[in-house]
Amino acid sequence: MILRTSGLRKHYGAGAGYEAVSEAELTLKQGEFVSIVGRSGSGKSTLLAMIGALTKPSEGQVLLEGEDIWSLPEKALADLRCRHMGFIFQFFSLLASLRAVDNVALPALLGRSTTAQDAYLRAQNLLLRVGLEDRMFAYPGEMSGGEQRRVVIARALINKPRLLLADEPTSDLDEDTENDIIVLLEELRREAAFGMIVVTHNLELAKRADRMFEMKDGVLTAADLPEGAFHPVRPERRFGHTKLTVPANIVRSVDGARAVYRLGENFWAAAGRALVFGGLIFALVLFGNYGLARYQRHQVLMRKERLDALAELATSTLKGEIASVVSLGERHYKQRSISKTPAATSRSM
Amino acid sequence: MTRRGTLFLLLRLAAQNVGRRRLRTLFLGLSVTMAVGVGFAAFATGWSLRDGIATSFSRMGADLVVVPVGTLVNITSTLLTVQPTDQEFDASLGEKLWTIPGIAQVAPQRIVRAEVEGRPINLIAFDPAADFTVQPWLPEGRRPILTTQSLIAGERVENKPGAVLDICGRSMVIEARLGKTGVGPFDDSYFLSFPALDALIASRQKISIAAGIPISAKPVAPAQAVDPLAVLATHHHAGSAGPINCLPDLAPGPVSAFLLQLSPAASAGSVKFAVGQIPGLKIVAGNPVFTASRQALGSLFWGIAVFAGLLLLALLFLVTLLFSAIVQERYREIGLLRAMGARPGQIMSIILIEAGLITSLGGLLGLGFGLSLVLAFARSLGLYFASLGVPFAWPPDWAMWLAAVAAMVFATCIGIIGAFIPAWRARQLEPYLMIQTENAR
Repeated sequence: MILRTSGLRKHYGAGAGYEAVSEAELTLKQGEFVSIVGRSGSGKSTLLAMIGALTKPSEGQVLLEGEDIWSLPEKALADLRCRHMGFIFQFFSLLASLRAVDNVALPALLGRSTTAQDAYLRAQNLLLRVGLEDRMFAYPGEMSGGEQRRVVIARALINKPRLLLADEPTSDLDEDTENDIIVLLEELRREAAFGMIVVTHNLELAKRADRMFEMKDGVLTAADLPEGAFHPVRPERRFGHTKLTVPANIVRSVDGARAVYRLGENFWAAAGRALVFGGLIFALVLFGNYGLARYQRHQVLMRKERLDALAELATSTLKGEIASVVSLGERHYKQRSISKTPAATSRSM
Repeated sequence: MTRRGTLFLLLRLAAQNVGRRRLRTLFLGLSVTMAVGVGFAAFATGWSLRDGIATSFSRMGADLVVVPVGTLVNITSTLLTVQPTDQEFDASLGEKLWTIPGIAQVAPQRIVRAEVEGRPINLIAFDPAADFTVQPWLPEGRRPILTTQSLIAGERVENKPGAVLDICGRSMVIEARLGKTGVGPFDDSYFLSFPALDALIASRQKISIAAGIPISAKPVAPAQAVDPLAVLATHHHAGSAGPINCLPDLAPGPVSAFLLQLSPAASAGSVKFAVGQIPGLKIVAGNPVFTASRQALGSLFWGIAVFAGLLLLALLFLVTLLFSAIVQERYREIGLLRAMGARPGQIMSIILIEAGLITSLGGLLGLGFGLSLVLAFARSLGLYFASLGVPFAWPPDWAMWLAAVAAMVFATCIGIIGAFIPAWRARQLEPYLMIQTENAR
């Protein structure tokens, strides 16, 4: 027994409020596949979130290998999510700014339990396993819905979890892709022997489980699997390589931890371009300033020289010596200087 | 993975986010670039203008002058300064004056008459650290470091910078020449530091001892306005008495006057009243218009600084608001990271590093932008002010470097502080809530 829930209850709002999940009891054995079906709003996603340590139950316990996970501090809870659980969500849950290989390697990198080299090697391995060896460096926006979902599955398994929690793993997918994903999950479960809880309203998927539960108005009840309901895997839709090793050419192209150094290179490149561009503009400003400053200095110098010349002229006029004074009539004389001011001036006295 | 490796990963993840959201990064970075650039430019130009205008106002002299009773004070339209006087008082009075509220600066001066090569000269000793009336008249960017052998010449003094004068057996070098003040005693004088004057007094005492003349150590006949006939008489007398007349028999220490500058909000009347309580001194006020203008200008600069501070605070709020929206927009992504096993601290680190990266880069570019603005200012308004006689000089290198570092720290901090509250809120929320809704509160 790897998981057991006891009296799990989730209540929203004060007072009467809303009871999303009430008294849910569930057990899961190593390698077991349990499905939970129910209508939208029945509380199955909330139950899965409580089991996955994503939302705290109002009451009850979630025991993972005998330990109550909700008694753990937040850091330990984060580590538990990282090392023991894998999540597949019903929406496209890849980080848009990261490539497929980065998305898959990220939980291992965050977990701090492995080197970047190992994390990327395992990520490549898993992507190869889910048939995406040629899409490792694609961004989510460049991938189809089915490819994205396979990347999410690879990411959920990167830390070799004991428990895989899948919330509507085939929603928004076409029938063929849906089948591909179901087949892939089953194959992987058989290979890695992790326990799997799948929440779905897809009855076909639910019927493949070892045990099926039904959720109705927050109440979880066991449902009988119909006789002969199980659909065998269609052999023609098997995925990728069965041997979990990475071809040498891929190893060379990714080279393990080097991929982590490529994270953020967009920013550094953009920052470098911005700084170079800014530097060029600034150099132009400096150049312009230099030219303008020289021109202004020249103008100031010219002005100063002009003023000095005027001052000199005024001073020299004052210092001029009178060469002759000629009377031009009553109280009117003509004066002539011998230096600086050659022009004669006349004045009345 | 080691702790350092994790930090490296978080930095890479943050950089990846920044690089993939280019438009957001661009606009946030540009807003920080503008703010840092304008702030940096405002500091540099504000400093230059304040310095320039302060220098211009300092050239108007002191707001108040405290002198011994009986001292003549020259109040002209341009400079309030002290006439040569034999009245002196103890330097410790300066400490009392410092304690009076409303006084921003106390600059002691001592005026003595000396003799060089038979010619009488006025020596004005001042404290370069406290001075605000002598050094502003130095040519722009030429503020010499005064040693005990340095002199600064007034504008009408014949000797040029570099000339060496022998005073009381000491070689004194003229380091610089002041601009024209239009105030006779000021333009005709030599200026030196107090230690330099003390060295001259000591030198003069040695000469007296060598000549067998007793030292009275009292101020004797310091400079009055230079009278040509008196000069001739002194010259003849000096010829018979030797170098002993190079300086009166002075004791080191006393000062002739304290020049006071009022703080922006101070009232000249109140300060005069407070100083007037000290016996044996006379207070002379300068042109009240200049004092009021300088005080108003000082208040204005503070007002502008406060205004700029409020603008930067507004930017901080804007960055907080922006990052609040950014973090809310990414609740699902953050919830997914938490579901993958990211610790709350790691989530906070990614958000804060992301903000810090954008705003630091914006700050770095902002410094270039700010410097460009300063250059544009220097080439336009700076030239205009210089043509009006208001000196425009860049702040000293240390101030520019300090401002640049402060601007970078501010840019980084504004991002980190701005993103802190949204990041803190994000770490408090349950992962499931964040995954379920991108508009969770």
